[in-house]
Order: sequence, then structure tokens, then C-alpha cells
Amino acid sequence: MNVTYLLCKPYLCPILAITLFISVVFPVFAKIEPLKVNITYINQVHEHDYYTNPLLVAPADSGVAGIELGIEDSNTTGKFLGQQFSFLTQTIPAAHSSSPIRWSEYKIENQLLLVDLDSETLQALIAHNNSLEQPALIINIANRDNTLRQRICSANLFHTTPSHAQITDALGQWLLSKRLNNILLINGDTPGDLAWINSFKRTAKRYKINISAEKKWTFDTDLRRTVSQDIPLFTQTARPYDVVVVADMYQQFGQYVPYNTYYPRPVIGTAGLVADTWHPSIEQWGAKQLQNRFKTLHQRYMEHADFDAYVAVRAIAYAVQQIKGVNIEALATFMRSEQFQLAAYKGRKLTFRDFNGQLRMPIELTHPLGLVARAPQTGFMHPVSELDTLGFDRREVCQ
Amino acid sequence: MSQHSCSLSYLTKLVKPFLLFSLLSLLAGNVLAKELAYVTNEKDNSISVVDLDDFSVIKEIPVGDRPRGFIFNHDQSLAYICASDIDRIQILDMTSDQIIGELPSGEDPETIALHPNGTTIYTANEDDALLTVIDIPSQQVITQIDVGVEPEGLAVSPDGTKMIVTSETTNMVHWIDTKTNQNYANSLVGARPRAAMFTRDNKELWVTSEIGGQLTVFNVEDQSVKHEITFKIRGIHSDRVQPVGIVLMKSKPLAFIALGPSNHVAVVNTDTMEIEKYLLVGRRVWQLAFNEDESMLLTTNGISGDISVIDTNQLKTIKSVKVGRYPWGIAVKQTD
Repeated sequence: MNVTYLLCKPYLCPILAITLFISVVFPVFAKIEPLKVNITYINQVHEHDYYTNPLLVAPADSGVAGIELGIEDSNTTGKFLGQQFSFLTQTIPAAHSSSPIRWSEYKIENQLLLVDLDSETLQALIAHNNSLEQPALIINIANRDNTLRQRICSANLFHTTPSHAQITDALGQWLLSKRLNNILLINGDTPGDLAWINSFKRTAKRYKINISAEKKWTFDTDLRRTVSQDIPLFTQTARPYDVVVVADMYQQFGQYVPYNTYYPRPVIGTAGLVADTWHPSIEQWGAKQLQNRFKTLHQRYMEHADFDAYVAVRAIAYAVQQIKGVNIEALATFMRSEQFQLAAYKGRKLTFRDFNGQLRMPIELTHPLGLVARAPQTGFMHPVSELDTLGFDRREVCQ
Repeated sequence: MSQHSCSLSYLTKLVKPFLLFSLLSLLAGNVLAKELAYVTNEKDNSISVVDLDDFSVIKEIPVGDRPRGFIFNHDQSLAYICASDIDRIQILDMTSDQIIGELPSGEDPETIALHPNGTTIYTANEDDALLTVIDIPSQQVITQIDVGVEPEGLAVSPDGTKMIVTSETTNMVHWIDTKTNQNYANSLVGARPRAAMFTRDNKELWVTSEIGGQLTVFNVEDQSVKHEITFKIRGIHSDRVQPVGIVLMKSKPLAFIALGPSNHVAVVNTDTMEIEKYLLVGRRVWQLAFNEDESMLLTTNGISGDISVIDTNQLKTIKSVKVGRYPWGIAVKQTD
């Protein structure tokens, strides 16, 4: 308006006035405004009071790098459909029991949120969100806590990162397919390790895998000097095991276990053969193109945290494409429906479990430089989807 | 794996009468021109050449890294190969089996299509979301057209007026006017559209959606959807039924659709749009090609590293031939 006014020369004025009048009365003549899709990424500072292996420190842009690529891909698509995607990052402090996050101070209402939060903070967010008149659509892109999948069944909560259960079930299926069912389990001592161990025990029970011995790593030696003496002693058991399962989320000792076990047996879990959503060596089903795009944008390889975040953006973009709008309720309903079908470089369509919002997905079993296998393994059947042999099924959720 | 070798021995039994038939026809002096199938091996950086008389691999031609799309020029004197990892379209001389030149292709060319004029070639640049239009005589890029993420399937209408590119991650069919090189329409389809094919009368466009599990048939005139078909194979989960390559038969009202990791090819009656049959082939079948008289249909099977041969009269798979790793593109050449 102002521009028109300033540029308005006497002889042009009538023409401009008519144009303005038409564009106001008949919006169709005006330039069509793109549909703006704004996503907020809420990222929490995670504080650990334990040592993390420096070789495993995640890239500074871990996760958010996947969001950036997801936004870029969605905009390439969006330009043909008049849709414009953008995101902003909001970093919140680490939560302490004395000072929990006050969600009422944040603008959550009617938003599209991707979150990387600890379990307590996420549960508080969901509780707050449920009390809102126009709740947000929340996608958990980083927290793998089983409780969030079993106990919380908010219609507006989704998870594009797998649960620990999906990961440990993938390992369990591999053990069964190799007929390795006699396990030495080694525990770390962080809360993350405990969650992982509990999940593995559930898997073991489910697949009748026998945990013949369980040991806790005590951290009373310096492994860098005596690894070849300490680990064999530590992994010595009265009877031989088939495989060693290590639960050490932060690689405080787990990386020293392979090739040093008392009995020469494979090591799996958080060291040796690991299960996760993504690996730089994956190139089938169009994955190579995704890897190339990611590398061009970020000059590094795509990791699982980036993939989990990327898939979240793509899920939103696909839902927006299909329902042609950003109504939160419509998006959430569509994402849980059977019409939702996400192509995500996994060789089959990915869908959300309607009962807990968890993304069904194949899990990749890898060693540091390559892909070993992919779960679900052949032969694991399920009446709905083979992908439901991994993680919690309907009857295990919100009962 | 064991399942596959099982079907192999079964196939050898099936193929015996066929070999006998070929032998008889040879004796009768009914010698047809020799036909050779050219198969690009994505992982081996080579082309396997299969003699279709005895189904032997007669040679392997080394080509550029990660060869995928493969087409002949009109008189089959040259072939154009997308060497994706070296970002080039290579020109293969069919008499000397030598790479005699290259076309500028933009980055990561995956598929190619030749305009009926024989001088314009189109390639999809999968990594850059572009369609590159190349003039062959001058070896110049005429233009690059913005398309969706991971453009893949290409088709030029037989009358040369329109061209199609599908973009896998955008889930879209882009309609392009070949005179102006303008993108004049876009249609959303099921997830991950792969192949596109015009019918010979220019009236219909067939598009497969790999993850959506659909075949969509468009009216070319107004881009309206005419038919939508989903495939169901007994004993195979619908997630594994992933339509990819399409071929339409000239001599019969039949279309063949490769169904990826379901390891089957669907036979569709184009008059009734009914699915007539599913034929078992090798693992992860993606591209298809007929021989000249359409008596045989060849399929490239990515995971099992072979091609399957389908007898189009009996609608039976009669043979599989081991080629290189990850066979991708395929075309059949006539020789004297």
C-alpha cells in the first residue's frame, strides 16, 4: 500500500487504484501468498555428571543438521505447491529437580514442535500441552526412553527416533537368527545404561534368550594401559557364552571389549555390532542421494540423530502436502492414519503406530565401517506389519 | 538365497523345451537377426552383453562409475550411458565397444530419455533436483529446469511435444512443454514415483509410485487421473510390492510392471485395466525391456544380480542369466 502510494504518479493513480480495488475485492487476482509452515526445534542443554569418550562427542550440529536438510528438501517440493517451510531453534536450560522447566512461559500453543528433551521435561511438556485449548503437535526426535512409548498416549505426540525396545529387539532378532542364545551381559552405571539394560532384558524374555551371566563394570582400572589383561579376566565365566552384550551408552569402557573377551565371541550392543537408524554406509533404496545431499550441505556424514530429525521434518511436510494446510489437529490425525506413507530411504513405507505415535521403521545393524544386517529379520512375522515385531505392540501400551 | 536357487533349478527345467524350440528353428533355416541385451551394472562399473539366442554373457564392457540409465540412438549405432558417479553421460560406439565421447550432463545423471527428433537428450540430475536438456550435435546444455527432489523417471511423448519427469521425494509428476522447456503443470502422486511412460497414441501417461504401491494412469490432455491400480500378491506383504519399471506392448494390449522387492512382474490388460498375472522373477526387479518382436521381456534384478527372461506368449519366466552386480538399465540391440 505504502509503496503504491509513494510511486503513485498522477496519470498512473487511477490504474493503480483500480488494480488495488480488484485485488482487494477479488483476492484471486492478487499474488497468492505461499502457505507458511513454521517449525520450532526445542533443544535442551544436556548435562552429564559422568565422563563421555571424546571420540564419541557428537558434532555440534547433530540433529539440527538433519532438520536443515529436511527444510531444504521440503522447500524444493513446496515451491511447486505454494508451501514455504522454515524453522527456528529454541534452546532451553538443563532441568534440575529444583528448577524444572516452566512450560507455561513458552509459546507452545498451536505450534509444530520438534523436541530433544530429557524424559521428565518432555513429560511435563506433554502434560502442559494436553491442558491447552489448541495443543501443539510434538515430535520427539531424540529421546529413546521406553516409558514415553508405553505410558504416554497423547494424540499429539509422535516419535521419529526409535525406542530402546526397537533397538534391543533388532539385536535380539539378530541373535536368534544366528542361534546365539547364551549371553554374558555387561552393564555400565549411567541411568542411560540402566534403561538400555532393562530394554534388553525385555527383549531377552520375549525371544527366550538366556542371560547366563551379568556383570557390572566397576571402573577401578585404567583400561588404556591394561586392556588386554583386564577385559579377559572380567569376561571370564564358568561356562562359555555365545556372545557378549555390552550396555555402555557413552563408550566409557565398551569399546575395549571386542577381541578381548575371555572366550573368543562376538560383542554386540553399544560396542561391536550396534543397532541404530542410520549409518554412512547405507546407500540402498535411494539412500545414496540423501547421503550426498547431506554431505553437500554439511561437509560431514549423516548420523542417526540427523536422520531421526530429518524424518520428522519430512513427516510434517508430507502431511502438509496431503492435507494442504497446517491445522494441527488435521495434521496429527492424518499422521496417525493409514493414508500416511512416508518414503524415507528404508525400502518400505514408514507409518506411525496409531496407539503411541511411534514411527515404525527398519533398524540397521552395523559395525563401524559397514552395514551387517537389517531388522526385522526374515521370518519374524506380525499380523499388521513386520515392523511391529520391533518395539511395543498395541497390547503393551497405555493399559 | 536358497529360495532363489530353488527357482533357478525349476527354471532350467522350464527352459529345456524352449532351447529345443530355438534349435529346431535354427535347423529350419529360420535364422533371425541376432539380438543382444545390454545391461548396466551399477556396482561393477560395466555393461554385460547377453546373447539372446543362447543367453550367454558374451562380453563385459568397462564404462564410467555407477552406470545406470542406458538408451540407444535411433539407428542403434550409439548408446548413451548415465555414469552417475563421474557426473557424465558417456557415448558408447556399438561397433567398437569403445567410449567415444561424453555429453555434459550436470551432476549425478541417473536416467536419460531421447526426444523423437534424435538430437535432444534429457537427463535427471538426482542430487541437484534438476532436469538437464542437452543438444547432442553441439554437445551443449540447452537449459536446466528446476524440478522436485530426486528426479528420476523420464518420458518423452511419442509426438515429441511433452516430457515428463517424476521426483521421488517430492512425490510429483512434472509436465514440461518441450518447445518452451517450461514446466506447465505438476501432479501429486503416491509416494516415491519412479517410472513414467506414455502410451503410443500420446493420450495416456502411466506412472508408478514405489512406496505408494500404485500405478497411476493420467489423461495427458488435462492431467486428470484416469485409473489408479494397486497390486496385491498372495503371501507377500503389501509394503514389499513396489511398482517401478513399466513397459507397454505394441502387439498386444498388455503392460508389464516391475514390482521391486516383491520379486514379481505384474501383467496388466490395457483394455480392461485388470491385472492378469504376476510372474516370479529375480530379487528387486526394477527395469524392463522387450526384444524386437516382443516375444521376450527382460528384467533387471538388482539384488540377485541377474536378468530374468519372460516368454510373453506363455506369460512365463523361462530363464535367468547372471550378469554383474546391481544390474540397472537394459536395452536390446539388433545385429545382422
